[in-house]
Amino acid sequence: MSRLQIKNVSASYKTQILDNINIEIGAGDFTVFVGPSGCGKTSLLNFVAGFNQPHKGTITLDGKQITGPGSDRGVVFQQDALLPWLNIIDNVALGLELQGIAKSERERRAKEVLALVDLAGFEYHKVWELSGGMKQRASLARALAADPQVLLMDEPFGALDAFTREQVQALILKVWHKTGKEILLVTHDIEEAVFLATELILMTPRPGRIVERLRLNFGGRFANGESARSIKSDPKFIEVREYVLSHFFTSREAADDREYSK
Amino acid sequence: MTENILNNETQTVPNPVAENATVQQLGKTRNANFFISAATVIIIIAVWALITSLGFIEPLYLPSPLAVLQKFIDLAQNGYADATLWQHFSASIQRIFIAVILASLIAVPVGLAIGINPVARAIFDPLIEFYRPVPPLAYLPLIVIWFGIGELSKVLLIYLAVFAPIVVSTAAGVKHVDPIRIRVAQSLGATRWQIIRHVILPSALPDILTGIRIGLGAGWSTLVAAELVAATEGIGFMIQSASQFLVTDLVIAGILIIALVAYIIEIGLRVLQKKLAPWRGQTH
Repeated sequence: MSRLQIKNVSASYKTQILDNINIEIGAGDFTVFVGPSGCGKTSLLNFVAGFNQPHKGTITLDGKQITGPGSDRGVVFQQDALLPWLNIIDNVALGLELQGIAKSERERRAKEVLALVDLAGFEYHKVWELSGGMKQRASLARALAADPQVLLMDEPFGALDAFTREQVQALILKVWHKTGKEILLVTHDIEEAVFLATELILMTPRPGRIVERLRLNFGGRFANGESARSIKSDPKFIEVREYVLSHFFTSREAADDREYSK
Repeated sequence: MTENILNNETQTVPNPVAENATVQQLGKTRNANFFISAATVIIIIAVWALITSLGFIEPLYLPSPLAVLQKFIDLAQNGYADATLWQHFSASIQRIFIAVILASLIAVPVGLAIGINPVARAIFDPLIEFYRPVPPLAYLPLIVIWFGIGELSKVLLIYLAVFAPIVVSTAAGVKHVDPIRIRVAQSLGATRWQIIRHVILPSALPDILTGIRIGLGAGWSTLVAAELVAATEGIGFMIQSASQFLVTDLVIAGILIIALVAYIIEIGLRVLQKKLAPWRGQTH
């Protein structure tokens, strides 16, 4: 069953950014778009979020065409973008407040999601009292609290250090496993992409195109209790990672050659 | 006066070196800075006292600090020109406060509109930028011709001086709102009004308060001009009247009163700004 359908999506600003993208995203999938900068992956995510409109093609969620941003699609950005005048619980409950839900109810639900992202006990902290990883978890909680159909993540680990990054990756897998929500994540980190994705979509730039789709389940193994180290040292994992890497290196070199021959 | 306010403004910008310093070091720096400020004031008063006591300058040009203090006590006890010091003071402060409150009520929405809506910007921006640099004394005669010599003209003159800085700061604050914050609100299902209310207004609040601080400074600097218009009470009126009779010590006392009151209000607003926007200067 596919819930999110991206059909014939093309976009060009100065140059062509996306060229005829077609994807269907099934229920419960963890879809990761990976590719070098300029491959249009963030543009595509912004189209799904509704912040921008593609110049050609349509995107539908449960059969309904996306024409603008909405609370059925929760977004986690690279920067946490928490509102500093609100404490953590009010940040997380913001979506519920905008929907006009009563204070006691939204606090109950915000506390639930904060517990889910391991931030129980930080409800009444100020934003600037939290570390980078905690802030990113809080912004994940904010997106979750509004109970969206789909979660969209644009380089959510981009601003985190390597240690924190692994923790937040693990947490996102846990959240994905527990809530069963579809996740669309954009990254340029290949190891991260292979680790997280059930559906890995490789994109190349100029113009942005999907070159390959891989069906994986390393994230599922992690969610079922296997350790990240054991998965990442598994020859199968290394094989996929190297396959994806070689893919980009050849296409990158090819692209460079095209540049030079101009 | 405006320059003064701008200088004060640059001081509040968080200094990256101080930010990296530990809290203890920060406290020490603050104490040291306070000591330097206090020493500067004391030295100026001492030099002033020395010059006047040695008789280098006629009291007509520069009375001694003691004479000014005596004049101030006399003023507090006996008043000036058929009004007590309190009456002069409250007349001025009322004019300023009414002007600032009315100006904020209109200027903040206008600034928001300019920052949010290009059409509003196209309408208001040229008007405000056109009148903003004109000295209030230049359009004072026009205001008197149109609105007479009553209280309205005085408040209106201060109002116009206060209005522009608040509009400009508010619009700048709106334009500096992080677009990601707006996207966050949009993806949580916020309507246009909810985005203004929950994201844009609180994001711009520190800039709005800065605008009110700068506006207040501009208000004080037009006070004397406003009280040129057939006033019988007010600190500005008092200074002008005293200058016509060459009562220099009263002129200086009046200047010091304005400076002191403006300074106290400025400090109060800075405290308020810290209270309302404690995240400013925090790394987040």
